[in-house]
Amino acid sequence: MPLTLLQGGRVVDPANKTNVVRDIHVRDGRIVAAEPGAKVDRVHDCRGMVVMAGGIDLHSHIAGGKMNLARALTPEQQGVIPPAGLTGLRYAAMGYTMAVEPAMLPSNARQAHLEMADIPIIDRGAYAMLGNDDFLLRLMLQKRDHRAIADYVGCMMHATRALGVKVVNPGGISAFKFNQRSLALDESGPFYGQTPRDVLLTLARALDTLGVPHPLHVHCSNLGIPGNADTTLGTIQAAEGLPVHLTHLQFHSYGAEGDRRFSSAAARIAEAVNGAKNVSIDVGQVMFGQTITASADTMAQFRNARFASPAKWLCMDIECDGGCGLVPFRYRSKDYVNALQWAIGLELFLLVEDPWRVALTTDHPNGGIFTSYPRLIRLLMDKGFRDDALGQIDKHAQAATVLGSIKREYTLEEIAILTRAGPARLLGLKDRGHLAPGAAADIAVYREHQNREAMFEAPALVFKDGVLVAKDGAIMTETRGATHLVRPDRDPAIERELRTYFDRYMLQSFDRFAMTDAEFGPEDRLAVHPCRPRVA
Amino acid sequence: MPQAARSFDRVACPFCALGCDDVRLAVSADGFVTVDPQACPHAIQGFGGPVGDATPRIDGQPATLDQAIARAAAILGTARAPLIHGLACDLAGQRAAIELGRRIGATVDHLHGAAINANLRALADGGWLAASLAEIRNRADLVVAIGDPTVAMPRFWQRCVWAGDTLTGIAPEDRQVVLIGQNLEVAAATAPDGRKPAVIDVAPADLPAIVAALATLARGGRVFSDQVAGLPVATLRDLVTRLAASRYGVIAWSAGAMAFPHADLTIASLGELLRALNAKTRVVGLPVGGLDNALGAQLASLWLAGKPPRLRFVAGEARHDAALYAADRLLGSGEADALLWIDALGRRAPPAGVPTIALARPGTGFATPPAVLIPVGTPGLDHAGHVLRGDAIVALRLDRLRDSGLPAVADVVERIGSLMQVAA
Ligand code: SF4
Ligand SMILES: [Zn+2]
Repeated sequence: MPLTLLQGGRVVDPANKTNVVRDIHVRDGRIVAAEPGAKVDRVHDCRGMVVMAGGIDLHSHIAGGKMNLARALTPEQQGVIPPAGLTGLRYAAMGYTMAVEPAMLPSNARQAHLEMADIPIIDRGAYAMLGNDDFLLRLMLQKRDHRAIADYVGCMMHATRALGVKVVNPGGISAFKFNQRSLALDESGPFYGQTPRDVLLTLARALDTLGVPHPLHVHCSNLGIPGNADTTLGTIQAAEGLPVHLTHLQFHSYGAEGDRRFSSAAARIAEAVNGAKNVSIDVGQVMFGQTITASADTMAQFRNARFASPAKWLCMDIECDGGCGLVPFRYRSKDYVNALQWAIGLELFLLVEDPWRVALTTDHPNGGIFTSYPRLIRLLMDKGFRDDALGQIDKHAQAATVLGSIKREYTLEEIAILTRAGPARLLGLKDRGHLAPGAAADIAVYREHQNREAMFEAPALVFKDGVLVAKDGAIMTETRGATHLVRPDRDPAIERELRTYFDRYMLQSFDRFAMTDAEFGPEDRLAVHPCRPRVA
Repeated sequence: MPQAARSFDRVACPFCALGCDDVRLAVSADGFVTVDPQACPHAIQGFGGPVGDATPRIDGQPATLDQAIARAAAILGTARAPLIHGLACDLAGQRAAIELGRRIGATVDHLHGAAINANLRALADGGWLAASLAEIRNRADLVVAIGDPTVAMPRFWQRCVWAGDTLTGIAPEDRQVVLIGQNLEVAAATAPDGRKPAVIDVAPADLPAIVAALATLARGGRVFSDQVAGLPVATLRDLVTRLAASRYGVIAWSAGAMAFPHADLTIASLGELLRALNAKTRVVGLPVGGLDNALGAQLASLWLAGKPPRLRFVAGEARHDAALYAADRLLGSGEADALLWIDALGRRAPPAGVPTIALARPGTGFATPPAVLIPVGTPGLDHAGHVLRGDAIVALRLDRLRDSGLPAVADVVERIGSLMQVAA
């Protein structure tokens, strides 16, 4: 097997507490220790460059039913949601080697995986969406014990080949199907009577029981509503110390103060996150421009439909397990609310102290498209640039944010944590996100540049599993990545109940619903990550 | 010599987009399929019968598969304006066809390209509210069908409306049905307790006016006459009132039944109607269709090319035009100079008049033999695969039930592609 040497780069590898100039050796798709005397087949001169592990996006809507509906809803905006091929190429050219689809409805899992298999180069994974599924709400109504619920969650993770579990507006999507238009954290939902708090805690506990590495991925209740910060703080409490990952937190950090009844609550939220070690977050930063918001949260999307730009939108109730809402949106820097959303996202990034608990996202495409990450990195690393950008936004929003007073500039190490080391750790990917021997040779090599946007936009070299896939922003070769998943231990006895349930209420049997490994093509590798031992 | 048949009782069916997985059938040792006579006629027709003649042919003469594939590649390779059409096959076959189209600079359409585009144009105009099939099955208390849903989904009423237990406790007797159209299958829409559906007799050509009036009334607007297309406005007002009073209403429309110009505008009016009704209650739409895995073609095309069928690849870039790249038009005008016809689900002959490579089921009747005929297997019978259910959410897993030796569309198309140069 040939040996490749990346020579003389500055290796920024926070997972291994490394920030030094050193060589990296690659053999057979893996990083290996230096082998004195071994024949080196290929040398890449990395002097003056920064070497990091490949980027990992732990929340990016890259596939599934709603993305295809989004493509169909807005044919005039081809740039916003690239087809599968371009998705992979653009991520790779930007130094990213993995992206996780965060909203895989169990009923749509097979289609989502088939689509993800057509995304070249990068690795993929997906979170199964639970918490609005009638099966779970029934189990809760029946007061079933937490082991049975954990078995069910484990079963669904197996059946959908999931890497994690996400809950979206716990119980709220189900409530919307019963024509309820809002659901507060401690409000009993219609029909099943469960509160969002109970649903959240139930699922967080199930994942803890199963030992799933990624904490429950939580899209809180009341997305986008002024004053929703109280709900978010309540949600942190509701987890009762169990691990939770609060996603696109920017959309959940709003106060209702001031003349316009819309204010930043980022400081309060950041303080709570700083104090709650069980909580990790991603921001869902808003970047100005045209996009389309795609969310399972039909309750929120229906409410926001009046802001659709252009004026068209779609909501769909899906298969007794969730929903999908699509609202095209244009974030305008001169609009008070949009401008403040932008500032709130940056405040969160800068006020949450521990970078290991923050992931860099725009919630692609909801806050902005993923190709805007290099600019976002510059906003975090370069106070001068940030202040200039701040000076461009709506004047009232400028007055309503503390952003200008924040001096913090992210270091390269911190950026490496936010974009690879941290997400890998939060996902339980032991061989990704770092550069020690044994890790996958997913590597991005950046030319040092004062302009961090230029630096991160087009890395000099990108390796995926040891193969040089991109150079200076151009694709060199198209490889195929793997699907990452976990297979927690579960008592399959619960499948008997699922079989009966599917036979009685669904249009296909449970066994047909559940995916099989054979459905992945021979070229589609499955990377199964271990769970912690199950607890009683 | 009679041999023991293998029987299957939970077979997944690819022959319409309802995605049933309860078909009972038996396969004899020689591959002959006998379907439970109680089964859906579409399924009997689709699954039943012998394997048939698997011999590839060139200009009607027997050939090997290799020869047929080489000849197919030669025909497509010299065509200036190749057309890939039909796409009535599993998702893998459709993906392969779209990728071949990209490779050779072809136009790609699906058999039901018109209906696909009518729905998508309406979607892109204003959007709508929709639901997948299990939501309808478990929640609907009022189902209004525009055009007969059993044309595209024979067991729609049985599986989605008159099904037994529901999660919400709603029972068949709590459900009401209204049919709008002509030549409707009333028996299947009749409730188990014998209640007949309300029928509003409307000729297809009058649907645009009727639907527009419904949308106007639902928005609280006024219709300035007593009649719309011969129907009393009171009838329409009553329908809107019933929809508004439903807890979970469904409007199921069949784009295939809207064979009039600008059907998309009528579907867009349905979107308006749905938006207006949802201000107060929940009413969802269901575009009924998806025959021949049309939704598979729609989705694969969207995720591979960013655009729906009726694609043309120019230098690897996908363009879409619902009128310009319609297969019928390209064949009628003589613009297409070679046709790759794919039909692994029905036994339909391709349109005549252009050098044709037919990937077809054994038993397909041709008026004149195509330049190349490659008999292919049927997904869910001869090989495993996936088709998209009509709600575009569920990808149904199909199994292989017999060893017929018939190749899958995807394999044949990929082999043709591997012999061809990339378009300049
Ligand atoms: S209704 Fe459709 S899916 Fe069901 S058996 Fe008939 S043809 Fe097959
Ligand atoms: Zn998201």
